[in-house]
Amino acid sequence: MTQSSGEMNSSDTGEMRRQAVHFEKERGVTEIRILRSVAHVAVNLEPTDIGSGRLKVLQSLAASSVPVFLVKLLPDGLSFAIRGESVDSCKTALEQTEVPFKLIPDLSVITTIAGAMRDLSGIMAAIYQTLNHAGIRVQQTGDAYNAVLCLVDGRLSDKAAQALRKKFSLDDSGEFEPVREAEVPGAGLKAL
Amino acid sequence: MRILVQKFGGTSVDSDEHRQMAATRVARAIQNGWSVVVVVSAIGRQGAPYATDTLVSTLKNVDPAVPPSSREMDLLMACGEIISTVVMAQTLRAMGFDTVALTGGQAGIATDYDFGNARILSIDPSYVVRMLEAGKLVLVAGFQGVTQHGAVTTLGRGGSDTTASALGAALKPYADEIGVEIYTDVDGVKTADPRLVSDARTLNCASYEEVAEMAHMGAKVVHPRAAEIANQYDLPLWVKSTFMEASGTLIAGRDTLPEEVRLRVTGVTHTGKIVYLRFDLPTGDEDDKAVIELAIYSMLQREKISLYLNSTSGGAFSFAIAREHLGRIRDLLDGLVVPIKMGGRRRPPFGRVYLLGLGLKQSGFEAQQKMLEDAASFVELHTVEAEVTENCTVVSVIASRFTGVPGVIALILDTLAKAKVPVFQTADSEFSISVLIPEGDAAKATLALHQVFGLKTAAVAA
Repeated sequence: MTQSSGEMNSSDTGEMRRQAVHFEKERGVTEIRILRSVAHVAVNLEPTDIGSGRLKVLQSLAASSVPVFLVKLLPDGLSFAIRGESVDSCKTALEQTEVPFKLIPDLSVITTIAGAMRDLSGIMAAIYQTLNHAGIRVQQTGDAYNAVLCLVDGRLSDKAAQALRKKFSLDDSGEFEPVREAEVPGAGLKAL
Repeated sequence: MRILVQKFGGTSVDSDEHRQMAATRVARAIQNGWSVVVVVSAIGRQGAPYATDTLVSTLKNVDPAVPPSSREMDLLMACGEIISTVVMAQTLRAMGFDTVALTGGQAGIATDYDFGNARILSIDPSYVVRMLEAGKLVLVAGFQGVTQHGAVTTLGRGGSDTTASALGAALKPYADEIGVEIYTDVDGVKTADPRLVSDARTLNCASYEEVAEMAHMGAKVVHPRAAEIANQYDLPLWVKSTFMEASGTLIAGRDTLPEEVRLRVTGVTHTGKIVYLRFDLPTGDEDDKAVIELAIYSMLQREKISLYLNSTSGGAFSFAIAREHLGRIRDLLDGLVVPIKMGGRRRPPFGRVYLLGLGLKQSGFEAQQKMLEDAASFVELHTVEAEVTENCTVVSVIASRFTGVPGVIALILDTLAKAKVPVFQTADSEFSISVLIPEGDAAKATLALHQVFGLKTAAVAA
């Protein structure tokens, strides 16, 4: 390798500023997505056999090729979300398993995307405050390292998305813009 | 110009022998025609004289009662990388290379003012480019940058990985070919922590999303910020061993990877010491629950405490926090009073009051309870005792677009049931399925899941 002084002079500085690369993601929320036509199912199980009961339910759904997401273990059973088109198959599978369940149709999942969510605090509080002020009840929540998911009444999904976009300054005009539709979990994939 | 950014972690530069091995990697890249930028971490880990933790302890020990300012803490912490960079530069100079060692600021890395966890705002690479064009071997101190007013900042956890990736992104427009190599003490991204799974396999390749998810879920090879930047700028990122001759793991865009990699179970990770809290309202009132949830989340927001694995159902809700926050959470929540308005009432009760307990029954809680019981003729008093599950951890199955496949969650729960691992909660996202389990079962669970998904031999495709 050759020697060079390589020192900067002042005329370089202006050019360097122009060449600066802005690239690391800003902290905070970058996108709000809606997944429409979702149902929420809560299954009640006998407390004496809760573990195997949950497994039996999930295996029964798998055998009927029903993709589930937002799966939560509850003290008295479990709950999960399904896509609208799986409602009939889900009902059939659960009826065959002979477990009591409650299915709420016509919900939407509102997904709030933020890079490095775990390095941020307060996103959940901000989402709850916003939805609460908008009079929207959260049926269930989920979270990933870069997202918080809220299951809400499908009729209120646009209102929820709009409120969150406003809260996180994603829509400077204050007017509603169509938000990106979320990807369908497990769509088109075969069962294990 | 073909530019290669090579980052060496603390264990790669913690002795003369290791520095020589790292230098050999640099020399080989130069022989292969690359113009090289070396990013260096601080020497060694905790206990080593110039390791970041050692420097921090030195400062804190001046007077443990007086916390150092974050600005000065960053100034000191950045020294670890600067020392390491200069020593590495001298090692390479002694081998005949014409080196130039730069701080993060001198390399053009501009950050915000969030001392201790600064975010890179921009990189002006022109000085680095000029040095490379002049034939110099450039070394840059990782983990640091500088604010627009010249204050030295550090980038937080995984900062040197972030420096390497960010420099790669900034140098890309100047390069005919660009690459970033992260050198560490393992030979690539593994399907599981080899300390828990002895036959964990090294992945030949992985997508940015997989690696970011793995890193967020506990894998320690590459910091997620580095993977995210690489993703954003479409940079090929290699993870390699300083000490072993192996091809390593290529991290790249999913579309550029082989078909079987795009839909598979990638690995099993485990993370953190977690505490799980569950609140069950005796009234079962969902509106009241929403108010209490909001009160708690707002309080945690003010305290900058992150929570995850959230669940809400009927009159109950639950969430997890890092165990390091448990003491503070107990201070905040044990004895917390949440009033609920009951509008328009002319007779008592005029409202409902929830008193939260975290099983401590401390004097504050008892005092609150006594006062509220005295007022019970005016308000409805309900005590909510949280169920606190300590000593938990999260084990995650990383799976690209696999998580909604019917049967995956059932298979995971079945596997863990057979391994006699209790599962307290689950969480699923686009790229992973996680289970909250007792910390002591982490190895057993990781091993069982690693086995059931066939990760020892080859990736499982749907």
